[in-house]
Amino acid sequence: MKVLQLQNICYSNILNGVNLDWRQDEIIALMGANGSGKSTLARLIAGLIEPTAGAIRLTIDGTSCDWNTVRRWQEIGLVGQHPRRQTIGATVAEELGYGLLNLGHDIHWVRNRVRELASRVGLGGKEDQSPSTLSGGERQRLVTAAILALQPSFLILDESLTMLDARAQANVLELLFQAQTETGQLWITHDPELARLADRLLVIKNGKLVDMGKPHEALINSEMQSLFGIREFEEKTFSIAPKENKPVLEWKQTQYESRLSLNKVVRTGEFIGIVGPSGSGKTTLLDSAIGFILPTEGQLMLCGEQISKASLKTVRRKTRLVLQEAGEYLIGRSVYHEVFYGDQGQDLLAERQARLSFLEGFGIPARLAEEVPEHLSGGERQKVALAAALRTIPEVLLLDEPLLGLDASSRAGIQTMISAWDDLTILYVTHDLREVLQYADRLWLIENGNVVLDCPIQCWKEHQEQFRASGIRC
Amino acid sequence: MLHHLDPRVKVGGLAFLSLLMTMTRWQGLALTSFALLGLVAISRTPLKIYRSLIMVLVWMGLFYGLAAGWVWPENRAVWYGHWSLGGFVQAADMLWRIALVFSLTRLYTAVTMPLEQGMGIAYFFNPLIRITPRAADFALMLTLTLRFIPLIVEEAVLIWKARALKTEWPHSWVKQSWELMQLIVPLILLSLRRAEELAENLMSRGYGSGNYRTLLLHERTSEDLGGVLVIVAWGVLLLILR
Repeated sequence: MKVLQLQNICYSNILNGVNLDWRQDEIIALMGANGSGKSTLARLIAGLIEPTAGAIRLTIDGTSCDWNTVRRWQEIGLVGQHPRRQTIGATVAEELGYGLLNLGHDIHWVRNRVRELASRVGLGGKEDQSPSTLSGGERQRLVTAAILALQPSFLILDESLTMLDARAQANVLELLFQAQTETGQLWITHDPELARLADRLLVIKNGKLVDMGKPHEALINSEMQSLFGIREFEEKTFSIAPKENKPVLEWKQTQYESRLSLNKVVRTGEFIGIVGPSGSGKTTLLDSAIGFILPTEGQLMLCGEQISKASLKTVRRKTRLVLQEAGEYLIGRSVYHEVFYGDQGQDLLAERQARLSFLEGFGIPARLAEEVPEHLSGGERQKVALAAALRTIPEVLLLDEPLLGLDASSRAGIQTMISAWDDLTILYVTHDLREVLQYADRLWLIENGNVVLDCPIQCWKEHQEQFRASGIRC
Repeated sequence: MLHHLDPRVKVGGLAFLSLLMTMTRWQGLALTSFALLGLVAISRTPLKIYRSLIMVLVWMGLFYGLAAGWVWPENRAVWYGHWSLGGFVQAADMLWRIALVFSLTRLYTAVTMPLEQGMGIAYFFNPLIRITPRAADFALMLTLTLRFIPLIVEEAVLIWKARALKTEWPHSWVKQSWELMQLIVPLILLSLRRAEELAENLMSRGYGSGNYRTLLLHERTSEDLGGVLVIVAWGVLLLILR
């Protein structure tokens, strides 16, 4: 039995005396706010960065090993959040075999092992395909299997299950539980549902780890529930009177090559929750609504006008899109410049006070206005992206997973903002139905580029099984 | 059919035939020309993809025509020379060979995915690893670059989308240049972040300089065997026609 011990680990001003004993057969869930140092701790344990103080020890059956002589990549595996950014192999086979070849195994043995692994994770027959041809769930399974093939004693999953729909997540979890006896696991997550499945819950706060014990017991505690945004389902009293407003977005028998096929109407002030498994066409739908792609057949009308190449300027004025992980793609040189992008020097100075108040309305304090976006936490960057999108009030707001990767307090802040936008027409894409249940008027379930279910929010429970079958968390 | 051939057969075949193309006589070139036409027909690649070769060949033809077609006596200045039919024939012969190599390469790139090309090329670097570990690093860099480029293109598209969502794209080219310059900084930052992630992924799989070995699982099919036989027969004929 191996035990990894962290003793008084410090790193910059992020970690401030972290202590941990992690057994080889133990699954630990690690939670904490954005920017609290979870990923830094993961990188430290994986040996990608060195601590400024403290020691890491590996003990095997009670005997301590010299950490500097341990082949860390062999002992500790690390899987990150984005499947598409983690694959290094040109083919599925190369991905699975790369580490095994580095371990010095014979190429013929590796070939056989790779075939075996591929079929075990449901990728049999796809060995010669490029990983880019796989879905997000398949890619994450591939990366996890490639790391597990090295039989690491410890595995860190840094929000690795966040981007996946429930079905894909269940597949990866199955793989992880199979490896549990040989591989200790550290699941870094914001999702309390996932944390409940672990053996132990740790919380990182002020650069230190707090051991909360058994997660299913710890997460019952009401303080913990508010800290991690755990909420029981509230039975919302739905208004029965439907909104009888004029159509604002109207897809008339539209086809977008073979990717998307729509025939739908969205009315003014409606909040549509759009759910569906990964790769089903949710983001493509939002791209179509803002004119990033134009129909190959049929028409899309925005406020009664057909969207075409010539009308894109008007479309972009009336519609705003918050990209998935918008915080990653901030292009302004400062927060202020990002939100008020395109304004000339004089404009930027004018009405500065009013503009700072506008930022504060989005939870961005004035002191951050001149900060470089790179220096902000994930939650802060997402708020900046929202503020930039809502600098002028649009007719239609398109939100692509706006809460992805955010901690509970950032999520709550953004959800409070969204709940205040009663008059806006909102199309909100998510994997998690619970995010929109309180606000949506209607739900669309998308599968293979088609809206296969369009139901009023009042009836969502009648279709709960259908949502679950599609990998939607609800 | 050409699309499904093992990339190693295609890479090896292209290198082998290109080499022989420099040795063979006009009969070999004629044979290769007919074979190439046959391959273009079999592969069903659109003819327009070969259009880009025309301008290159025109310029090369002018260069060779001038270089080989204009001859002048020994110990005399260049302007005492004259046009020579033999020189033009030599230039045409050279151009023919180059046109065939370029066309075969164009056909190869049309029927082989970039990543497969990388894997195929990297495979032939494997024996060189015994001579120098740099061969392994080069092979790895080649496949990584081919994988990294689409990732960066994807990121660039997202940066472009983020920009498109802000304000209208300016009409003046000065402002357009300024806008593009402003986009370069976030793109470079993102590229560096992705490169760092890639390096970390490599390290977490035990990357060590000189260790890279390509792993192709492509089952040897009868088509691959047929492909090898055709290339060998073709090569032997080119050698006979030297």
